[in-house]
Amino acid sequence: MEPTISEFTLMFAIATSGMLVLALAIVFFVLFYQKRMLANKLRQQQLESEYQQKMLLASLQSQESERRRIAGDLHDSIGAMLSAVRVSLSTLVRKEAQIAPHVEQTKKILDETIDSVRRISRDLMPSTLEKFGLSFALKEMCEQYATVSGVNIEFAQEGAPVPVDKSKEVMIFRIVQEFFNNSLKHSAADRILLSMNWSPELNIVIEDNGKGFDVREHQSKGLGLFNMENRARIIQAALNIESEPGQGTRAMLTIPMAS
Amino acid sequence: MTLQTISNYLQMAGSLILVISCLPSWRSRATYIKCIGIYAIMSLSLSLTQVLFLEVGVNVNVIGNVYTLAEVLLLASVYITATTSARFGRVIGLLAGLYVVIYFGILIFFSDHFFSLVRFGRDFVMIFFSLLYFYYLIKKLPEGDLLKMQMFWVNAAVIFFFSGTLVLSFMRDYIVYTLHNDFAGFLTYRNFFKFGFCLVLTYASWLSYKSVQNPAKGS
Repeated sequence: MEPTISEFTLMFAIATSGMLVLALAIVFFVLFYQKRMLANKLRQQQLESEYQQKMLLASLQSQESERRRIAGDLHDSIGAMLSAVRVSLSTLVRKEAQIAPHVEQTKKILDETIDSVRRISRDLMPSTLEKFGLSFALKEMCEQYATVSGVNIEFAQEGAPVPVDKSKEVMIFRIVQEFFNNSLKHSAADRILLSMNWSPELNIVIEDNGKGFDVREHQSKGLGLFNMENRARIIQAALNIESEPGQGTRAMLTIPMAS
Repeated sequence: MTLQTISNYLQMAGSLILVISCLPSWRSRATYIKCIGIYAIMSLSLSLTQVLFLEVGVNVNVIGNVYTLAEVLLLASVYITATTSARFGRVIGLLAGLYVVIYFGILIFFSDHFFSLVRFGRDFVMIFFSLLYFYYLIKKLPEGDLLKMQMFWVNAAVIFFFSGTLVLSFMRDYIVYTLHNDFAGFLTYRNFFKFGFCLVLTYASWLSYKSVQNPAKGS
C-alpha cells in the first residue's frame, strides 16, 4: 500500500531530521574532542614542565649543598691547617733566627694561599648571606667586587627589608653574582649600580655602562643567561635583561613576596 | 509569487552573496576559497540558465545533472587544496574519480533512476569527504580555535547541507513519479537549505578575508 502524502512527508521529515541531528552531533563531537585533546595535551605539557622544574630545583639545591660542604671544608679544615702551618713557621723563625729570610717568602706564599682559600670559600657560600641576610650579602658582594676589580660599584636600597626564604635568597644571590661575573669579565664597564627596592615586592635592578650585547643572540647560546633565567623561574621571579651593543646592560629581577 | 519561486531566488541570492564575498583580495585568498568562489559562480550561472530555460520552455534536467557532477569535482578540489596531506588528497581525488565513473555508469546502465541515483551518490560522497576531513582534523589536532578556522565552517556546512538533502536525493524519483505536483514543496525545502549552506560558506569566506587583511590573526 502506497503511503499518503502526509505519511510520506512525516517519514521524510523524520529521516531528514535524523540525518541533520547526526551531522550536528558529528560537528559538536569534533569541536569538543579537539578541546578535550588540547586540554589533555596542555595538562601533559604542564606536568612535564613541573617535573623539569622540580628536577632543576633538586639539581640546584644539591649543587648549593655541595658548595656549602666544600666551602665549610675549605674554611674549617684546609684554612685552619694552613693557619696552623703559618703559626708553626713563625715559631720556627723565632727559634732559628738564621732561617728567617728563607721562611719569609714561604710565609708570604702561605698568606696568599690562606687569602685565596678564604675567598674561594666565601664565593662558594658567603657566610654573610646565611648570618645577616640578602641585603648585607649583596652589599658585601658589591664591596668585594669593587675592591678586586677596581670598578666603581654602587649599592642602593629602598624600603625595609623583609625576611626572605633561605633557598630563595641563595637563588637571588647567585643571579646577581652571575651578572657581576659576566659584567666584569665581558662588558669592560667602569660603573655598576645595584639597587634594591623592597616594596611591595622585591625589585632588584643591576645596570652597567659596559659595551652591552645582543640579548636575543646570547639567549640561545649563553649558559650564564640560561642559568640566571632558570634560577629566576624556580623562585617564580621575573627576570628581564635589556642590552644593546654599546648601550650597557640592565637586568631587572622582580621577586613576588609572600604577604 | 509562490514560496518555491521565492526559495529559488533566495538560493540564487545565496550564491551571489558567496561570489561577492570571495571576490575581494581574490589573488591573496587560499586556493580552497578560490575553489569555493568558482563553485559559487558555477552555481549562480547554472541557476540563472535554468531560469532562462524554464522561460523558453526547455527541459532543465540536463543543467541539474551537469551541476551535480561539477559540484562534486569542485568541492573535491576544495578539500584537496585545503590540506597539506598528500594521502588525504589522493583519497579525495580517488573518490571523486570513482564518482565520475559511477556517474557515467548510471547514465549508461541505469538511466531510469539516473536523476535520483547521481544526486544520492553526490550527497553520500560529500558526506564522506566531510567525515574524512573531520578525521584529518582530529588526527592533526590544530591548536587554534576551530570556530575561527575557515575550513571547519566549510566542512560543517558541507556535512550539514548534504546530510539534509541525502534523503531527498534518494527519494527524488519516487517523489516526482508518485507525488507529481507536491514535489515542489520538497524542492522549496532544499532551496532554503542551499541558502543557509551559502551563508555558512560566506562566513568562512569572510574569515578568510579577515585573515588576508590581518595575517597574524588568520588560521
